[in-house]
Amino acid sequence: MTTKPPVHPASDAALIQACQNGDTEAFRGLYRRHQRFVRSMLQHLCDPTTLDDLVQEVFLRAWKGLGRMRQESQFSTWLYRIAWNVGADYRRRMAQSRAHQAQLSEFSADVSSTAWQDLHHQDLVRRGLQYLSDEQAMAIVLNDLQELPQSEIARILDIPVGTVKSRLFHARASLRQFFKKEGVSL
Amino acid sequence: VTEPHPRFRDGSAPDPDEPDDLPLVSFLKANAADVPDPAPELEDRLMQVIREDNLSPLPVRRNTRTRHGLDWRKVALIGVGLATVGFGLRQLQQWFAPPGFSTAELAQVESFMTGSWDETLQPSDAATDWNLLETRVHVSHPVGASGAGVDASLAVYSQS
Repeated sequence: MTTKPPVHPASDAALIQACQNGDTEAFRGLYRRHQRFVRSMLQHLCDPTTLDDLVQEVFLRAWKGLGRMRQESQFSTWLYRIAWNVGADYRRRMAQSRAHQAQLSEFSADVSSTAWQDLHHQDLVRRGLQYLSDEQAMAIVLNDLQELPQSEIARILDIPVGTVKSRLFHARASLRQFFKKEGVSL
Repeated sequence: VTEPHPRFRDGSAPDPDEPDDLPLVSFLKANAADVPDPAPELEDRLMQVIREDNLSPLPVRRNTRTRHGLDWRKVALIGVGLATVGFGLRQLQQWFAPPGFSTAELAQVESFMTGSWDETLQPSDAATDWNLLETRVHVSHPVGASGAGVDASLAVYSQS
């Protein structure tokens, strides 16, 4: 088992500067600092088998785009926007794939066979998020699950705060409707 | 399911304006799947791709904007555009403007108009009205071109 070096203590800005000067190891620090949030954001938009690939795609895009990044913009906001784009692209691709639907059904059947009640609810939440549009799902994930301030969500999605609130309102209404249809009233 | 999530018991809900949403949000949070750990080799795989594929961040773009977001190239373009429009309007004005009158012609017309107006203010009898009518006939039907009729009517006016 190999021991990994500790998380980079430098600030995001310093690491970005080093990356822009060609220091690939500095990017490792950025990855370690932000990968968990990116994973938790993406896991609600994809199935577990593709999560690692999508996370890798997010960070590869980030690496390639670092040179264009304005110094004053916040790295995390910019990175989460990339993650949102990657997740939304994935959902669009999967929406067109019937094979994926079969795969999801198989996955659902598998998890509901053990610890029925909890897993059933987890499955409901997962399917509920898939039931929403991409924009609504991301509003729920960032606001209700990741607990980001709505002003930050607005910056990530590049929309006004009022639009965030609107999407959230409609997303929650749709989710309630979905859960009710599944026998859970909230 | 309806038990509020501990996160919200202290009033620190993300959207406290909508308390009706708390059961739903609590349900989502309580049943959201845990974040799976990444594959152990993911980090090294990512770094290897970056190194081996010789990917490098795109060069930093030169910023042509000022600190306040003003792009001087756009300002210059707008200035040139405004100057062109102004020059064009002036040219059009010159092309379509009516021909000018000389000072002598304007003075002649003015004196005729003043005389006609004064005449209408004087007490009238049948003979004066007849003379005035004759004058009007001369003015309405000019004798020749280039204002000769005006000259003739002025002559009648001065005789009366």
